Amino acid sequence: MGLHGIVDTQYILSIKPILLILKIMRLKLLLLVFCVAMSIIGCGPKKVFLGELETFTLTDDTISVRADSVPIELYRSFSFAVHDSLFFSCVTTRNENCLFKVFHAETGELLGSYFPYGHGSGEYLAVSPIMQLYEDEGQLKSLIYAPNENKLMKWNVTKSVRTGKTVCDEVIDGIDGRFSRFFYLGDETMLTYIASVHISANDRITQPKWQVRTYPANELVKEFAEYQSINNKKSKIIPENFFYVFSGMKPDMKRMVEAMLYLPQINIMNTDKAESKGYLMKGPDGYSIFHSDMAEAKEYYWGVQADDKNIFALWFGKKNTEENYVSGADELHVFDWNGNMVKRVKLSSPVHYMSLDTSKGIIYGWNEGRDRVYRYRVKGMNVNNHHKQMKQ
Amino acid sequence: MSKKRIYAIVVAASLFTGYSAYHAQNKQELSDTLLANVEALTQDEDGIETADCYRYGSGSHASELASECDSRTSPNKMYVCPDHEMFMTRGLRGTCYKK
Repeated sequence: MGLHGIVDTQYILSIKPILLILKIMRLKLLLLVFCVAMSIIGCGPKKVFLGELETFTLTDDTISVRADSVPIELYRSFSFAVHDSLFFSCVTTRNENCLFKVFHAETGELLGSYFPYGHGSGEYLAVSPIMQLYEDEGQLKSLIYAPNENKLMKWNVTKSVRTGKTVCDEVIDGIDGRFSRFFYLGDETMLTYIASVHISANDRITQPKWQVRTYPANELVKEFAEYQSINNKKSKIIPENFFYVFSGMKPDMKRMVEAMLYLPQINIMNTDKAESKGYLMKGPDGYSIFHSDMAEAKEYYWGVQADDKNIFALWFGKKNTEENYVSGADELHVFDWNGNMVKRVKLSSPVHYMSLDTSKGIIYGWNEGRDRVYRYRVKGMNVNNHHKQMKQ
Repeated sequence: MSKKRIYAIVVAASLFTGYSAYHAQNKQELSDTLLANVEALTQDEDGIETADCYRYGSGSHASELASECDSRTSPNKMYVCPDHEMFMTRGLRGTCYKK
């Protein structure tokens, strides 16, 4: 027994450290495996689009539509917007005495000039393009931002056209220059966009961000980013433009659509939840382009507009050479608000910019080289058949 | 020494003193101007404050709020930043200095 006891004790004495070593080794092994796995994950490609991303297939359902010409000359303009046959031309400052001209879209008659240019009182050095026109208490309004005067104005278009003067219902002072787009969301909130910029102090590219803020108090409610920024130093295109998106608000202000310039992708944003879902066209073009020198980068969408049922994105889909640019974009991609591609619409006259008059159901397009405005009727695009089929 | 010689030495000395004083004053003025310029550019010892500016991007639709570079801006030369920002297509990025 005693011997046994001695043996047992020796056995225990010898086996315990071995077990302990094995236990530590096992833990170490687990730790090693964990570290390797983490480093593999860490070294892998970073997710650039931060929301949920789906793919869509380019539809074969194509229709060709013919344009009417509109008698408006947009020379010196860089963007425009149309609502209820009021045609708003955003004038490129300098040597012009106003920043917005309003025409009648049917006749081309100049109805007035608003937001005078200058350094004086009631004058502005620059204002934001019209991003959204909405009806409030039976009057047409738009949020206009004057970055140099740090003012955000609720422009009352109806009263301005009636009186021939620039009438603003509200003016909010002290809006700093980080913001470049403003959308009114109703219920005393607004959606603001902070574009990606280069920070020279540490050579950093910031993420483009959206913020939901209170209106008119201008307090932050929610902030979110859709893209991880990439500081690609070999790129021929400045990295702060990589995730440039065009944006269009649904008339009920509950959804917003974005169309990317450098990828065939649209994003649909839920403005209540402040989150986006992306829809990328199936094909060879993807996010890896942003790690190249961008010499072969194509420009995909040149604008986006929306009504209650559909999204209309102006498709270019080519490398932006001088020759390609002059020829313009001659196709619209139509989507529903679930991100399904509904139709391809071939335009008889190519355009460079577009705007949708939701009250009349007309898409206006401007051909920069010809300085001609064309209009296309949404009714003639047969895009609402899709919704009838979906209901059945 | 004749009176004439003494007179000539006095005139020559006066001329030399006058020229030296004038030259020194000019030199001082030049150096003051230079100093003022350098001071204006470097803003004492804090250095010169710079910012990004952009050339108009030709044929691109990416319109954002930005400062437009002076048309003479190059990788080796920078100019004063414009007094206002505008909505423009951001092409090549450059550097400008703030007044």
